[in-house]
Amino acid sequence: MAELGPSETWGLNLREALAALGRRKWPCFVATLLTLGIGLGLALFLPPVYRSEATILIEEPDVPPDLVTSTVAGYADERLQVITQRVMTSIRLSDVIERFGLYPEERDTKPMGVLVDRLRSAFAFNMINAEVGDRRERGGISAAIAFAISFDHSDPLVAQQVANELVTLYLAENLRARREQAAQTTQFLTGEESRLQERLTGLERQLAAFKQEHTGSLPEQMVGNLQATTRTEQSLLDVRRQIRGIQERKVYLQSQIAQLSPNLSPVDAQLTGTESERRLALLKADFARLSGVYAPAHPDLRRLVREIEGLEREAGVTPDRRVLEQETETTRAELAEVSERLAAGHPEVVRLTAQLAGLEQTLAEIPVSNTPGPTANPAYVQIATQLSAAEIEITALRQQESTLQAKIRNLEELVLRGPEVERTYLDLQRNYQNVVASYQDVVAKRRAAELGEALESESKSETLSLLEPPTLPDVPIKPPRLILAIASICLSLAAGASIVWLLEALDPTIRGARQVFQMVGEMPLVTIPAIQTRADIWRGRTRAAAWLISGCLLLTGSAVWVQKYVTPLDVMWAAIQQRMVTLINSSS
Amino acid sequence: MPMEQLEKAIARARQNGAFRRIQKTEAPEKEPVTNEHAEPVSELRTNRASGLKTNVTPARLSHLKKMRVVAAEDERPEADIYRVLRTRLLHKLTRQGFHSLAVSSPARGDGKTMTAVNLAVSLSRELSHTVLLVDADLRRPSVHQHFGIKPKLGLGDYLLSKTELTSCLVNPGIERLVLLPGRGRVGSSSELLKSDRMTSLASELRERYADRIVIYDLPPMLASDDAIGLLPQVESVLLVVREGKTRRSEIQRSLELLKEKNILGTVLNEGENTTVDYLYY
Repeated sequence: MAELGPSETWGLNLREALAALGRRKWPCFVATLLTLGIGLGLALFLPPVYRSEATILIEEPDVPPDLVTSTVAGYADERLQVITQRVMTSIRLSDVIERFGLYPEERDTKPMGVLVDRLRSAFAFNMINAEVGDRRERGGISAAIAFAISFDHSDPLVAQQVANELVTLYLAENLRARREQAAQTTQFLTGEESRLQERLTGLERQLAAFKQEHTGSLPEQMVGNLQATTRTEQSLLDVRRQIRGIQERKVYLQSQIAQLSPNLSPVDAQLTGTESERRLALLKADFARLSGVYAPAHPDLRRLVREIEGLEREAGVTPDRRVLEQETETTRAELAEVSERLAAGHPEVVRLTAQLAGLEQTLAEIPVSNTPGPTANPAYVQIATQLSAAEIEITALRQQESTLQAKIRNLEELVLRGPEVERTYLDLQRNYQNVVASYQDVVAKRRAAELGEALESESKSETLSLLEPPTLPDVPIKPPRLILAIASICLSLAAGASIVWLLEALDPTIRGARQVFQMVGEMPLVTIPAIQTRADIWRGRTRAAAWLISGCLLLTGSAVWVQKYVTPLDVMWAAIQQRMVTLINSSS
Repeated sequence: MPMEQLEKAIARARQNGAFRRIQKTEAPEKEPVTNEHAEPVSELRTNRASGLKTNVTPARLSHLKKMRVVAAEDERPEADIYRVLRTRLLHKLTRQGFHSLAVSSPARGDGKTMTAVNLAVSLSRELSHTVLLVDADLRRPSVHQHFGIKPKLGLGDYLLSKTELTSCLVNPGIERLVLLPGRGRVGSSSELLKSDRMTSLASELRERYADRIVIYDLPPMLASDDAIGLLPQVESVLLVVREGKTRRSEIQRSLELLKEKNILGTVLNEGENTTVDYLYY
C-alpha cells in the first residue's frame, strides 16, 4: 500500500474539491445566486425602521426623606416595571393605534390583539443604573437613576409622536399611582384610628361601670377604707367608754335613789313650800316673757313648762284657773287691739299671739280637778330625772355603738373583696392601656401618612422628569444594509459550498481514485476518462442549446408576467433606481 | 510530456515500418467503410497463432469508434491509457504465471465489456501475446456488438453441447485477437457456467498456449450468480467501476464476493481526474 499524505487521507484534496465543484456546478451556481439574490434583495429593499428615544430622569424628592417619608415604597425599577405594565395595556395601546393611525393596511385584516402585540414589541424600555454609595439603606448596589423608552416605526415622524405619547402616559401614570397609594394609606389609617377610638370608648365605659359596681373595693380606695376602719374603731371605743361612764353614774344614782322616798312628808313639804312658790313665781314670770319671744314648741319653753308643772305638783298648787282665764282674756284683747293698729308681721303682734297661745295651752293642760296629790320629793324627783336622762343617753349611745359596728363590718367586707376586684380591675386597665398605646401609634402613623399624601399631591416626592424628549430620528436603526449585503455574499458562498458538500456527501457512488483506494486498498490501475463519441458531443450540444432556449423563454415569460400582473417593468426599474439613490444618499 | 514523447516514438516506429503489418491489417478494415451496410463476409481462416480455425468477420473501424473501442486508434490519448493498463496487467500476470483474466463489474453499465474489449484489442497489439476474448455473459452478451458482428454460434451453444468450439470462434480482423462471443439469451446460464464442459474448456484454454491470454468478459457480479459460478475457473479478476454510477455499497459487496480471488486491480471508468496524473506513476 502506498504512503498517503494528509490530503489523501483526509479527503481535502484541492483537486478533488475542484472536481466536485465542477461536477456540481449547476446546483452550486443556483444556490449561490439564489442566496445572493435574496440577501441583496433584503439588504436593498427591507423597509427602514426608525427609532425615537426619550430619556426620563428619576428625580430625588424635594423634601428629604428623613423629614417626611413618602408612603410610596419600593425600588424605583420595580415601580417602573409596574408602570410599564399599566401603560402597555391592550386598551391603551389600541387607543394609540387608533389615534395615530398605525398599521393602516392591516387594521382590517388582522385582529387588534395582534396589532397591539406588534406595537408592544416595537417599544423598548431600558433602565439606566448608577452605582450608589451608602446614602440609602441599599448600600453599595446599583440603583436606577433614569430610564429610556424608545419606539420603532418605519416613519420617523410617527415614531417620534408615538414615543411622545408614551412618555406622557408614563409620567401621568406615575403621578396617579403615587397619589393613589398615598391617599389609600391615609384612608386606611384613618379608618383604623376611628375603629380604635370606638374601642377605647367602649373600654372606658366598661371601666367606669366596673368602678361603679365595685366602688369601695377598688384598689385606690383600700387605704381610705383602712383609715376609716381605724377611725371607726376609735369612735367605737370612744362610745363604749362613754357608755361605761354613764353606766357608772347610773349605778351611783340608783344607789342614791334607793335611799330616798318618792314623796315628801307634809312637814318637809311645807318647808320647801315657800321656796318652791318663789321658784314657781320666778318660773312663771320667765315663761310669760319667753312665750312672747319663742314659739310654744321651743325646747326652752317646753323645759320651763315641765319644770313649772313639776314644781306645781310638788307644791300642790294648782294654778288658779280663773286667774289664767283672766290673763287669757286680757292678752286676747290686747292682741285684737294691736292687730288693728299694726301689721301681722309686727313683733308686738307676734309676741302677743305667742303669749296668748301659751296661756291657752296652759289652760288646756290644767286638770279640772284641783285635788292636790301627795307632794313629790324634789330630791327624789331630781335624781329620778337624772336617772332617766342617763338611760336615754345610754340608749342613744348604744344605738351609736351598733351603727359604728355595722360600719366596721361593712368596711371589712369591702377590704375583703379588694384583691379579686383588684385583679379584674388591673386587667381591665391593662387592656385599656394597650388599646391606648395602639391608638396613639395609629394616630402618629396617620399623621405621617397625611404628610406623605401632601408630599405627593404637591409633587415634592420622587418624580419623573423628562430629561431628553423623544428624538426625531433621521438615520434608521434597521436594517443594517451593509452588514446584510456582506453577510449575504458570505452566506451565498457558504450556500454554494454547502450544496456541493451536501451533494457530495449524499452521493453513494464512487468518486475518484482515492475512494477506490480506500475501498480496495490499491489505487486503480488506470482511470479511464469518459470517451466521447461524436454522438455524445452532439447530444451535449443539443442539451446545452435546449437549456439556453428554455432559460430565455422562462426569463421572457416571467418578465411578461411581471409586466402584466405585478408592476410595469419601467416603473419597477424607476423604483429600483430611486431606492439606490436613496441608499447612496443615506449611507454617504 | 510523456504523452507527446510516446506519440513521437510511435510515429518514428511507424516510419521505420514497425507497424506495417498492423497497418496492412487495418487497410482491409477500412475497405468495408464504403459498403457500410453490407454484411461482412465470414470465412474460415486458420488463425496462425492459435491453430484454431476461426471465422473471420472483420470489424469496421467506424463501428469500433462508435462503440468506444479506442484501443484500435493510435492517435487518441485513451488508447495510451489502455496501453498502460495492458502493461501493468501483463506485468502482474506474468509475475504470477497467470494466463487468464476475468473482467467484471458490480453492476450493468459500468463499462466492463468496453474495458474488456479495449484491453483485448490493446493486448493483441502486443507482439508477444495472442488474446482470446470470451464473452461469458450468457444472458446478455455484448462483446459481438462492439465489433459489429452477428455471431451464428456462441459459447452458450457450445456449452449446450450443440456444437464444436471451432465453429464458435470469430476473428474480428484484428491480428492476434480471437473472439468467443455469446449468442442470444441462454437460459440456466449459471448451471452451464458451472458445468464440467465449461470447466474443461476453461482449463484447456488456459493451459494450451503459453503466450495466449484468455480474457473473460463476465456478467455483472451482483446481477446474478453467473459470475460467481465461473470464478473458480478464472485465475485473476479485474474489477471495473464507473465513477458517478457504481455505488460504493456495490463495490463493497463485489469485493466480498471476490474475497478469495486474486484481484489484479481495478479500473475506474469515466473518471474525472484522469490520464495526466497516472502517466506520472
